[in-house]
Amino acid sequence: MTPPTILCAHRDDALVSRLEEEIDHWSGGAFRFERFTDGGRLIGRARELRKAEEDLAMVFCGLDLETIDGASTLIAIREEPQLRGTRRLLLDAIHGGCRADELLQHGALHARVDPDFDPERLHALLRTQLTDYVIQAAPHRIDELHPLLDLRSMGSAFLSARSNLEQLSARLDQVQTSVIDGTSMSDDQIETTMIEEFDDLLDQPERRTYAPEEIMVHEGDEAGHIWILLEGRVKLFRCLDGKNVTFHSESAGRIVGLMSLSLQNPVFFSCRAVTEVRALVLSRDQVRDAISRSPLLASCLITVILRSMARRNRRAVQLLTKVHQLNARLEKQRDDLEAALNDLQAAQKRLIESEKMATLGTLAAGMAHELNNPVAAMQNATRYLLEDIPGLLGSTRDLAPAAAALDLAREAAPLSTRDERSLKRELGQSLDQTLPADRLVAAGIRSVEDFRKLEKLDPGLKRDALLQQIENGGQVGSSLRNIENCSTRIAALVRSLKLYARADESWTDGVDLNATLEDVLAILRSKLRDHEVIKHYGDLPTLRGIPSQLQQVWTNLIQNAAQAADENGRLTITTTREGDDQVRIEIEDNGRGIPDDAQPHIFSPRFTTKSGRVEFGLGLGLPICKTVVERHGGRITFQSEPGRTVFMVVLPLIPPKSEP
Amino acid sequence: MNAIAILSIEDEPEVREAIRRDLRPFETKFRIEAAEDVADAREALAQIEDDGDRVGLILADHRLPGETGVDFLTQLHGDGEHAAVRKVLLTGQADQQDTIRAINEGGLHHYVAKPWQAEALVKVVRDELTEYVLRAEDIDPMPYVAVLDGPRLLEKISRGPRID
Repeated sequence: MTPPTILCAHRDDALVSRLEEEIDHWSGGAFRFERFTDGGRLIGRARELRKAEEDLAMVFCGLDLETIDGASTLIAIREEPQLRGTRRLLLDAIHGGCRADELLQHGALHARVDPDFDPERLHALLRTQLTDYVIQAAPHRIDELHPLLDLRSMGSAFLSARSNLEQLSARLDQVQTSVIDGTSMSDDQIETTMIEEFDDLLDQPERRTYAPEEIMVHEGDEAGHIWILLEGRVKLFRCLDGKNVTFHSESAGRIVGLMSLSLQNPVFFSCRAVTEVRALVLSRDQVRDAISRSPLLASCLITVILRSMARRNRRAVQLLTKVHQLNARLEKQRDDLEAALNDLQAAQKRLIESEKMATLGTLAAGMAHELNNPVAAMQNATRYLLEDIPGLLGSTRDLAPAAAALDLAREAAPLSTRDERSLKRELGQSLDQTLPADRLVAAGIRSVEDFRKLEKLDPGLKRDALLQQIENGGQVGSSLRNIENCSTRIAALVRSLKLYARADESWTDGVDLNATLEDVLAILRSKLRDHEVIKHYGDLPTLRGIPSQLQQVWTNLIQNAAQAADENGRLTITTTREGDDQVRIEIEDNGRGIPDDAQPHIFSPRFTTKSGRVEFGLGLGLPICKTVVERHGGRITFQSEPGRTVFMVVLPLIPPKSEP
Repeated sequence: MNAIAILSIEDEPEVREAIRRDLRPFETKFRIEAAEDVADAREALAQIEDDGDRVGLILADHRLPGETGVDFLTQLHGDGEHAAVRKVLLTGQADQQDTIRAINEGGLHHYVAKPWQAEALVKVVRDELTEYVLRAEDIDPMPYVAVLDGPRLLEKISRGPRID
């Protein structure tokens, strides 16, 4: 083993030689003694020794040296962590402005040796210093150096070291337990322990103060420090899509930067002071150094990392859960909104529809009112003409053919255009070539016999004159017939309009629905001549309603069914009681069915001159049915396919709001 | 016999009779036929042609049970044989879309709105039939001078047969 080294820097060569001589004498040559006049060189040599892991027991310095003065040299030695045990001694007199105070303040100086030293006192000082050195940094040299040491103080040092060791091992036990069973030491205890350890190992490292809102570290920075919060609160956040999102505030913990530092990643969260914050700020090297020297600190750090990971993990799970819940809520909100939109659109449609119906109702009522009188007058006038014109023609024998032609044309059943064409052909073949068959047919002549009969009324009449009478008489007859038909249709339309718009009939109690159906079937008997009608009348209670309007509903539904079913069709009428307070009427036919594209519109009014006669008569008929049924608080629905169409009416026994 | 026919298509019997009556000025020189729907009109058309006659003018309602009048005119216009037939829509119910289609695709020559005035209808029919006679290479205009637009027909006669 190389002997321990003593370095000495001083300009006074004689003094140094004297010192070396005394040390040699005292120690019996136990030390290697090296001398310098340059502080910088001494520092360089000290570092070499440290690297070579040789023992540097003491450094003596004069104040005035080359390049670096003695005070700075001693301070530099003190700063070398591996040379902490090395005794730093001033070999100089103290005078004003000599920086001795500064040295003492820095803790850089262990003792001073006067240049004018007394050998006995120097020996005592050397003994004390060497003893301290061995205790602190070189216990392995005790065997070799013990004659030079102060054994009494060695003893007490060992005693206190043992008790320290015991304490330390107790604390280690505690820490080990706390690492495994994290509850035994509170966060505060751990933090306090860590602060104590760092203070102790690093000689009171830097404390820094941050103002509220101040950013302590920014995400993406290189991780180089940890912060142990002594006072105040922080929050951790990241910038997401240009917005700062806070991830941890309660869960931030008291130690910041540890995760990034331990993972050696760039800083993950930015940290902002919430209140004024005072923190211990430690560099990576400081932490590493402290850990290497204190297993307790390492344990504390592991505990802190574990707890912080657990805490943040819990927080992450919370955040994830929250995101999940938010997503679910968003989805539900979206669905709700969609449903609301649909409802709104449906409501709007209904509103428009009911607005339209209201407008139509007003219009229809006005029209019905205005048309009522002229139509009535027209029907009367037609009736008068039907009496007066034949009367007029009958007053003279000369016009007998015209009068007869008028009657013929009036009574002539309307022909289809197809039948009309074949009739023309037939007449053309059997009549005289000079007679225009098509004009005769247009005038209402339906057979050769018809013509012969007219001809016989005035056998003396010339052909042309006869033809003229037939044509004119026939035209008058068919015109009268057309006026009669048309005014009847208009009158019926006016009645429909009145029904559709607003009823002027009154509410009646005790209406027998089966009876109203029977009445209608009686009226429609001629139209149903070619149909089979099957009736399933249930035992129905009477209800409150407007009988004439209900009859109108049955009329429309049965007429539609009959028209749809063609000839030899089958109509089925079924009435049943439904629950305690409703009745149900079904009118079914086996006709061709309502085309799919027409189905959504059949209850909407369509004004057409062919009202009641287009296709299967969907003019005002069904809208009236719907209006009447709804006025009675009921509903009307249908199902239709080729071969089976059913209209279903459900009526309450007491309509919810029937006017008196 | 080679008569020229007027074919009207109208589903309401009263209206059909009114049209028939309004067409009386033409009954001495023209064959007048009526149909109540498009299917029937095809039948009437076939019968007219079977008899050796030809249709010179069609007077069609638009809204009919089954196919519409515009459908029929469009089809007729496109079949090649009946392009020369004069086509008149007599209706109160065709909307703008139908009318545009009738003109662009149905080769419609005239549109008469219901209700109509007899004189106006007679004038339209006279003008259209005159046009038909003038355009046909193989029809002698002479018999129609009294019933149709005499001066225009006479002008054609004075120029003599066209030599292409």
